[in-house]
Amino acid sequence: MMSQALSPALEKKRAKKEERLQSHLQTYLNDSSARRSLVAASSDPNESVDGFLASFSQCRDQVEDKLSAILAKKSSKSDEGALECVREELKSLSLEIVNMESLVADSSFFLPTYIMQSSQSSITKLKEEIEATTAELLPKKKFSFRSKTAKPTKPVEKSQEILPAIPATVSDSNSIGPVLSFYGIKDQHDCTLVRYSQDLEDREFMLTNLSNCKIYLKGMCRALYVNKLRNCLVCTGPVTGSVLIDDVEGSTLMLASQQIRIHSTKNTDFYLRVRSRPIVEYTSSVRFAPFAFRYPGIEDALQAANLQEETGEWENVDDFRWLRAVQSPNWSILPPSERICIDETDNALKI
Amino acid sequence: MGLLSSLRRLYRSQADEARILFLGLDNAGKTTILKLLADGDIQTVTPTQGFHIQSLIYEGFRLNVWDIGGQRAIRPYWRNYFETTDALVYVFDCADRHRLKESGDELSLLLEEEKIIGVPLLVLANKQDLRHALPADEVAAGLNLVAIRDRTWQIQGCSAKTGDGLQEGMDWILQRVKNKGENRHAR
Repeated sequence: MMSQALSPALEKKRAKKEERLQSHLQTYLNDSSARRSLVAASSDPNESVDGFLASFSQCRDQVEDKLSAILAKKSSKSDEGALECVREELKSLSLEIVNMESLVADSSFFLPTYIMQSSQSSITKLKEEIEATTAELLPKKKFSFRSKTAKPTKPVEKSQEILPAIPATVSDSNSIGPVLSFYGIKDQHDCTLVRYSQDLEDREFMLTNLSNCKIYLKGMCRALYVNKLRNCLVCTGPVTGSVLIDDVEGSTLMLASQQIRIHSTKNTDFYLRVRSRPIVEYTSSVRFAPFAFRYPGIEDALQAANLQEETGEWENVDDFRWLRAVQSPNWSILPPSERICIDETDNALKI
Repeated sequence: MGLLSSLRRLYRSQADEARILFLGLDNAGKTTILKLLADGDIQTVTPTQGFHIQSLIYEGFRLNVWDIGGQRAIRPYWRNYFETTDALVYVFDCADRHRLKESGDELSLLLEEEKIIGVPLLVLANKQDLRHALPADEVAAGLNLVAIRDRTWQIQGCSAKTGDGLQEGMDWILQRVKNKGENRHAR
């Protein structure tokens, strides 16, 4: 009785509370961005990490450019005058390296350890290159007779060997793409794809942006990342590490793995063999059943991955968005009469 | 919270003990790293619900590590564990390129939290044993670690499977917490 009378009032109170929380969050976000710009504006340019990185990479680029210019010039002519010139230029490069070192030393009290280390390693790298160039282009006097014969081709080769390595080691700028390298199946529609153990062995595999596809992974892999699937059937052999699933709709997945996490998924059936409780969050209308995928050799693979035994963990699903004791409305057990089995045992013989 | 936290502070102020917080997205490998450091058995690791605590003894120093679950639904609870933290370890799954931005966003929100201002940060770029894992320097760029100015930080590539890099990471943590008085400007 009491609670009934209270509930509209409580309701109102809760709405108010939510509103307040929302506005708190807003002011917090505003504050934080304001604080951020304040910090950016007030920091001493001489003590800024960005400033350091800018001047450091400028110096580095200059040295690299000059070095490659010297190498390029060298390959065209090689008389004594030019040699003297090269010697002078290399000397000035060494001086610049000294300047870079003192720049790092001066900045050391505010630089993060990681940047210190990467700056120092790129300095070391530059030094080595200058030394290598010096050794190639400026032979010591007593060896001049012999090394002259070796000169014309070698320096060019060397320069190509060394120079490409530089950008790779010092790419500490913010030029990072979303996906730089990819291993798996991506952007496919209306097709059936099979991968065998030699394609999977001992590496991670990704399934990204697929619709109306049937995917069979007949082998073992280390980790599986599933992203953006629509109306697909995915059947995999054992995954020795973990499976991470995000944004799947209207699909059927058969997976065997140590750990399985499912995010933002709808209307999908999962047939799992798993060694820990399957996790769902931001997920609805998903159903679970035991693993039912067969292909020649899967038993051995399951054994190797320590997944040969069915421990029944597939039905102990945890919904992280449902903390109450009663069953989460977001998932259910797939009724046995509706379960399917994907048996590729015979299929494989044809291939 | 006043009495409880001051009691806790008293208790923890013993010089040979430190409280470490392990955070990061789900599937990053936080629990696996800890299990490997503690007893080496990573076969039975399960996704973390809530948190668990693991004590590690290093060179006579006791590190009480709080390993907090990283599922999105429970990330808002991270802040309940900030009190009296001596060092922060943020774990990233280097094969999970899709969520580099999400992880970076969570980290930058984390670093604005008042209770952990100035606390040293170690980023573990985990799963380096996987073939297409992002290298540590790209993770550093992707998480925008360069922008961090209010604390000492370090990034360390590692693998919870092989154990590579973990010793280096824990050594760094140990150095930081041993002279924690100097590292913390605000409390």
